[in-house]
Order: sequence, then C-alpha cells, then structure tokens
Amino acid sequence: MGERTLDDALLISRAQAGDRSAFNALVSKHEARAYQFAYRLTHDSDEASDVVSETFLRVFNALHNFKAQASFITWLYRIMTNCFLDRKKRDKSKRLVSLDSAMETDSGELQQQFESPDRTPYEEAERDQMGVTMERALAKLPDYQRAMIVMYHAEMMSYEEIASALDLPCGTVKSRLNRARLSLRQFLVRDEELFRT
Amino acid sequence: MTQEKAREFFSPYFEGLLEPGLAQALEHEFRRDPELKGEFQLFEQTYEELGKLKFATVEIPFDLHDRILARIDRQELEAKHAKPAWGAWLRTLAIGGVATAAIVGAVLSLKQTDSNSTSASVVRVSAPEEVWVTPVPGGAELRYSSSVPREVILRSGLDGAEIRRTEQSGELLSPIHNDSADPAVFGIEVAGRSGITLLALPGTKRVREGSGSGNFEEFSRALAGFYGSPVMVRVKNPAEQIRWNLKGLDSVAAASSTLDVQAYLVEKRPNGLLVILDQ
Repeated sequence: MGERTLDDALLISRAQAGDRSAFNALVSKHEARAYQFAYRLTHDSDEASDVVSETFLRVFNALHNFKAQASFITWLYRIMTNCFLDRKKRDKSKRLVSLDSAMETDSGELQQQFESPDRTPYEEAERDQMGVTMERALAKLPDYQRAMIVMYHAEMMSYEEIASALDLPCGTVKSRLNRARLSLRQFLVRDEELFRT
Repeated sequence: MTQEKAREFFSPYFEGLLEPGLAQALEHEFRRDPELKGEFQLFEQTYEELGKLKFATVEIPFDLHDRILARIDRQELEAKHAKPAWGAWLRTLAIGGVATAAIVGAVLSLKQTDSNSTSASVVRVSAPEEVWVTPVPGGAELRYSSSVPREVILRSGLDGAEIRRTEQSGELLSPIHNDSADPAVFGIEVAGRSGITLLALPGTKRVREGSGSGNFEEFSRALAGFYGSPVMVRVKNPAEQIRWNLKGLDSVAAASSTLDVQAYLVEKRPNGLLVILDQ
C-alpha cells in the first residue's frame, strides 16, 4: 500500500520502466476519481466501469509516450473523455436519451431490463427534486458539452485544465461552457416544477 | 449591445472575470432591458445549482480494480498467444435446450499432439489454487495455469451436454459470457480428478422468485439469478437436495442460512464472486 502514496511522477517513471506493480498502484490511486467522472457522464454503473477500464487500458498502452512534465490527471481526463465520446459514437443505435425525449421516440418508453432488489448507486445517493431536474437537463446536452459541464462543475477543473484535457483554446472552452449553461437554463425554465412558487 | 451578445458575457460576469468596461456596459443593458435582467437571474440560479453537482457522488463498484486489471491482463495474454486460425467459430456457442451461453474471445495455448489435435474454448479448473475467477460485465473471466497438460471438459451444468473437451497446458485465459435472459450454469471437470466445479452466471434479467428446491446446480443458478452476480460451487456432493428461500440483499447470509454451516463454507471474494466450498 506504500506505493499508493507515491506521487504520480515516480509511479509513472517506474511503470514506464516496466514495473507493473507501479502501474497497478497508479490505477489504484486514480480509479475512484475516474469512476465518479465516468458515472457522471454515463449514469450507468456498467458503462462507467467499461469507460474506466478502457481508459486505463489506453493509458497502459500509451504510457511510454507520456511526458513527465505534463499533468497525468489532465491526460487521464482527456483519455476518459475520448473513451466516453468514442463509446457514444459506437452505440448510436442505443443512444442515451433523457426521460422526456424517450417518451417522444417512435420506439416508445425505455424498457427496464433489470428488476433488482437492490437500489442503484444513484438511487442511494441523496438527491432532491432539483437534482433530478438538473440531471434530466444535462442529459439533453450534446455529449461534448455535458462532458465540459461535468469537468468544470463536478470535477472542479479550471478552464485551463479543461482546455488542456480537450486540446482546445481556453477561450473556446469558456464560450462553449457559457453556451452549455445557457442551454441548461432554457431546459430548466421549461420544467415548471423548478420555478413553481 | 444585442441580447445575444449580452448572453455571451453571462458566465464571465457571474464569475467576476469580465473586464470593467464590458461589465459596466452589461449592467447598463440590465437596467435598460428588464427581460435580459430576468434571464441573467435565471442564469445565476442555474449556475448555482450546477455547483451542487460536485456533491453527488456514487459508490465505487467493489470489483472495479479487478475489472481494470483483468482488461489489461487479457490484452497482455492475447499479445503473448497467437489466436488459432479457427478462432472465429469460438465466438458464439449455443447450448440446445438450456439457457444460451456464449463463450467468446477465448485465448488458447494449444498443445498439438498429433494431426488430429482439437481446439476448444474450454476453461480448465483442476484445483481452486490454479484458477482465478474474476466477475466481468456479462459473465466471468477464468484464468488457469498449469505446468502439465490436462484434459478439461466443459459441460452444461452438473451432468448436461458436453460443450468442449481439450488438453491444455500453460496459461489459459477464457472469458465466459451469458447473454441470455436466464442464469446459466457451467460444469468444469478435469480428467483424472474427482469432483466438478460449477460456475453460475446471471442472465440479463434478475430473478425475483427467491424460493425453490433442488441440487447445488439449481441452488447456484437461483443465487446467481436473484443476486445478479456469479457463483462458484465446489463440493463433494453437488447432487445433495436443498430447499431455499432467498431474501435480503446479502447473498452470503442468504446462502449461509440455507446450507449446513458445519458442512459448507460460504464466502464472498474481494472481486465479488460468491464461493461455496466444503468445510
């Protein structure tokens, strides 16, 4: 367990030299945070686990290219976001839809496949009605904008960190985030419950 | 300043990052245009609500770490072993008359003894210490390692149809998936050794009915279906008749209260696999 407290640079250096236990320690150190981000994007436990697994597989394969002076966290977020977006492109036929738009599709309501005696992780978290409404609104955003919103507001990344992670100019990140917030405002305004007095 | 232009400044203005000249111009617009001011007030509420996202956290799956490492290990193993030319037909396997299970992506290290050597996507279990079972989405991943070749038989359940038979040495990593709605049970035997290991995989639909009776094959199937996670059973007398009434969220407690604790050990491995063994 001592290796988990070592900083990223040392673990990466050892992993690049072929030390698998150092890589495993790197995974241990960052997997929880990675999962939270992936879950916030996917809202599905299995999908989030898949995104995280795929992310670390890509990290493993590309670690030899990672330059020590860069931030590993930023790099990790870039890979995770790409994994998420790649997955969404692949799964176009079973796209994520918000509860509202699902009722508008030709195929009808979503079928629930699992009838589990357990609550889902998200059901166990404390959420008020506003949280549910916000969740619905977020689901309506384009995937790219949703990723940026989650990075800024949930993952507490700065504009510069997001720009670095997504390989975009900082100004572009700021304007896209502003646009995403404006879109969310519109979605929320449509939901009368939020502004009921 | 148009309304559209003003909206572009909402975020930096809220964050206090808008340069003073532009901030003054925007405030002038708010005074002049009550509708725009109203929009900004709603924007402020939205921004503040977004701030609560960071508090919504979820529990990390208990097997996340294992899944990540298993994914990497599988790639490493596939890189070491060349897939057989006939690997394509291993992708899907249907078992007639029982829940369909798919054995996909098997990685083999074949020992060719003669020109009639066979291939199979077979998982080999000779003793628990030679096999690692890791639950993965939709099934389980079995890793087996042996220095001497042994014949391995995979069948449907305790005494169902034989699926595959192969002779294996070296290291084998084989994922087993169950893509059907119902749970499926595999029986894994090693020629020359007594006993059979049962591996029950949940289906895509959870089973709500928690009561029943039958042997260990049926009991492991019931556990896998009710709790939605793989179950491994290795006991001397798998034909023993059991009655069960599964309830609650704890699969270990449910299985322990069903079985004779003097005779059987029930435990949950860190990777989430429920294991039933002789005491």
